[in-house]
Amino acid sequence: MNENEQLVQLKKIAGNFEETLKQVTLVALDSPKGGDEKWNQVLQKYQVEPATPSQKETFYSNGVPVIKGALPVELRKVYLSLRQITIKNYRDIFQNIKLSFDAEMYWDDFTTRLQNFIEEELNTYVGKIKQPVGVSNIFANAFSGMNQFSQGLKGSDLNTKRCNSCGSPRSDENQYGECYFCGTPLFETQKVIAKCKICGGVKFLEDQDKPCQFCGN
Amino acid sequence: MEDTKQQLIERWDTFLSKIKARCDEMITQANQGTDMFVPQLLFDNNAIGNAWTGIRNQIYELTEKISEAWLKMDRLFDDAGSSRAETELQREKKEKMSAYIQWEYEKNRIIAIAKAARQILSNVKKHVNENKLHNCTQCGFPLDIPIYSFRAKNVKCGSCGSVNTFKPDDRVVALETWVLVPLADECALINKEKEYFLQEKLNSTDSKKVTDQQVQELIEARKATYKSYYQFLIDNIPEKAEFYERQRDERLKWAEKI
Repeated sequence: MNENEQLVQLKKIAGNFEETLKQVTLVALDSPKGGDEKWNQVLQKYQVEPATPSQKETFYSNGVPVIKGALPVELRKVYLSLRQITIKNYRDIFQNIKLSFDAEMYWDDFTTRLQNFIEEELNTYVGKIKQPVGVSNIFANAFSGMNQFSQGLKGSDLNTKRCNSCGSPRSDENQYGECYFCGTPLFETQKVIAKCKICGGVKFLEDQDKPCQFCGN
Repeated sequence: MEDTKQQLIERWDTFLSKIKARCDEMITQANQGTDMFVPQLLFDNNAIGNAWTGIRNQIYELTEKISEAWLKMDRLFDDAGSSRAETELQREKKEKMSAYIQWEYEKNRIIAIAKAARQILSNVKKHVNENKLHNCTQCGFPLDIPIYSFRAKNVKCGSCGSVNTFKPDDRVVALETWVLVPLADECALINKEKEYFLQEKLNSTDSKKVTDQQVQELIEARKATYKSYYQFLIDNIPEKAEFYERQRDERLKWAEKI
């Protein structure tokens, strides 16, 4: 096969691919939401198993809201099958033939198209079947979250830190240490487990076997 | 050939005017939606913010449409034998329209959020008792505590010396986020508009042709935006003046890097 013939064959494969892609997408687009008999025939032709009613239900309840068209997941499988068929067509002809430089360049470009077309085409397809979103839809959606952060708000509050031991109020803004009156840590981080029966002084966990640190009893 | 070129120009102009009309229509609808929502707001404008984020996506789609269409038109202008200068003139229309759309969105968003902020401020004012007295928890002596405090503070009683910890109303604290920042944005709007269009002009100018004067103008505009924005916050949240001054100074330094 000479260079020109190679190019002609490759262009034919690519042309067939583009034409079929267009037809398949059109059938998917023209069908009502969830597909119809015509779409089922396409699935059968490309040996793609149709989605079950429960799978369709899951897609429509969780996915992008759509108004028409075959299920995108089915279309994706058809695209995958189409890609395999195209590659098989290429191999059937060029299995044992070394491509000329121009033919190889052409095929390389087409291979990139084959690699990327599924995402590109599906993206466009979903854009065409999804429910159009208008400004009113956006505001209706935002309305559901209205005043979300206006609940459970608390009013102003005033309190004074008092000593756990003697009840004396904190008397200095920078007072983070001990109580000025009885010396008990004002913001103790240790757990108070008991109070001295004689003077009421606090006892911490590590002091439980020791005499009271305030009165010595 | 000339006819084809002229036809293409007309086609391009018609397309751009349709996009502009769609943008104006969307902004008008969004403003109507905002006007309907605002009276129902309580103490936060999260819903309005979310709605305008949704609008931004629609606006983005419009600018994408312009870019996609330009790719086709650019080729068609070439095919029709347009000179480089002629095609450049048409490309500028695309840049101007994209800039117009984006600024219309930004300007209207700022105004809409500020409108919501005023409503929230009015709600908070109705809720908060501005004459409320705060008395010392120990001796009952009246304490000097401003109602519009934005963070908790310790106040020493002038009579008994006890320290009272004041925790402001959550609605007042939230004013900073839901009200004062949007109003600061609105306050800086005029300067921001100037900055935006200077930046757009610079972006669409060949980097070799950018003059020092243009760069300086943009720097000054940026600085003016930051100054007006932060001054508003400093004036209205004196407790956090130092914090905002520091932030402003950092931004002013950054503004010089173009």
